[in-house]
Amino acid sequence: MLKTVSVLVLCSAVYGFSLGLVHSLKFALRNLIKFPLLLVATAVVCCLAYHVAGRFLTAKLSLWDVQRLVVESFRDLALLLASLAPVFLFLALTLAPPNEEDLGEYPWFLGMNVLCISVCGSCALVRQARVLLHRFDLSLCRTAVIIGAWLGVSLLVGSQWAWYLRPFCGVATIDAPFILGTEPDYQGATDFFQAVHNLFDPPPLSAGYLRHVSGGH
Amino acid sequence: MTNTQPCGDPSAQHSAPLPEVATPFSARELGTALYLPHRAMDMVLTDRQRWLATVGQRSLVARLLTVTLVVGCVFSLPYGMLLGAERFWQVAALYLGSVLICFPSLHVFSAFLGVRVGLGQSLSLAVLISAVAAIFTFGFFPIVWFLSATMTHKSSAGTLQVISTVLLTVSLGAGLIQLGRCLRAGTLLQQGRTLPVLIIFWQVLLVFITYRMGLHLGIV
Repeated sequence: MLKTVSVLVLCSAVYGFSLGLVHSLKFALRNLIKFPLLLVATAVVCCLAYHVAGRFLTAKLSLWDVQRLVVESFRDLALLLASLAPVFLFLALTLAPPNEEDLGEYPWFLGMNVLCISVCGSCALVRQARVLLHRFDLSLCRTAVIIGAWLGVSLLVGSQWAWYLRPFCGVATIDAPFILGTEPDYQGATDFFQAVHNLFDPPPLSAGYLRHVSGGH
Repeated sequence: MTNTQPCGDPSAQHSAPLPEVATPFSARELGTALYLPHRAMDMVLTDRQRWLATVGQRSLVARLLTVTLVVGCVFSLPYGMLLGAERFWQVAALYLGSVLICFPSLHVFSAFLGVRVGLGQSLSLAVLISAVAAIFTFGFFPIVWFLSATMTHKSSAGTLQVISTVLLTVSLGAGLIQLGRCLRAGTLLQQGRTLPVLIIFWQVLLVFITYRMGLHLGIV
């Protein structure tokens, strides 16, 4: 278990570093702490819920099995992302930087990261599902429900935690503190769930924001 | 783990799979569960057939009822503490209180419809819902604590309330599912078509009363 956690921390730090370098070395170094913290804290906070859901859905999974499976799937995610770190490192150093006219290739870089995190997360889940199917001899339906429950709990905590720990990357011309925490974003959202809600029902932008964009004071 | 033993005619072993009859929990096991939380959790969540077999043993029902009630109270305390130190009892009251309010209707209606179940047995079945819900709130309390620690802004209070309500609803849903699974595993539902219908209506009533209880306690 210790080895698995070590690999998880190391790999997530490597990926976080490559992600942060799109902004600056300062952000990259911060991500050496923040990205492992994101994954490890999510796993720790959710571990009781993982166990209760696992025991409710099957008698075959002990507390130890659940913790090992979950840590292994986070390790897989981190390992897959770390394998893409050289790619993102290269892209971070070579993309067209934001300028006064537009954001350059930064949105594209961001989108590619989101896509890769989704793909790597899906691969880790598929592997976890295969373990449940074969090692624990669970049915496909039960496996899907267990994986779905664990995924739902992880997303609930992980998304808010990622919001709290933001920024992981950003436009190089704008500096930011180590974590923004509950500070409102440009639409006034103070947590992840409000930010998602604002995507579908955007509030009017504040006058202060418009002044900021036009360069006024 | 489910501890089952085969029964029936040994000569029929090669012609058809044997039905399995679960062994009831022993009095010692039930006593142990009172101070070993993981055993109590397994009894309520995992060992459905043994739990149901124990309900069928009138001599063990009182002990089983005690374990289930204790689980329903103790496991909901951490989540209750998140509501505030003086409101620690409210999650237990939400589930257990609602079940106890609705229980007389379940027992009287089922007796009226000719289902032969003792008072202690039907009460054990009813409080199973609150015990399972309490265990789920125990699983969710670190999440709610974590979210409340990272959503300290005033404008996030509403979002946090919605998330908490969803998690409490999921917990209640798990309790209802567990009751359904227990009933399907036993012979109670085979006593006629009216009992499943009664159980469904009773569960609807329980959900409504739990909702009203949540409103009254200011939890939802």
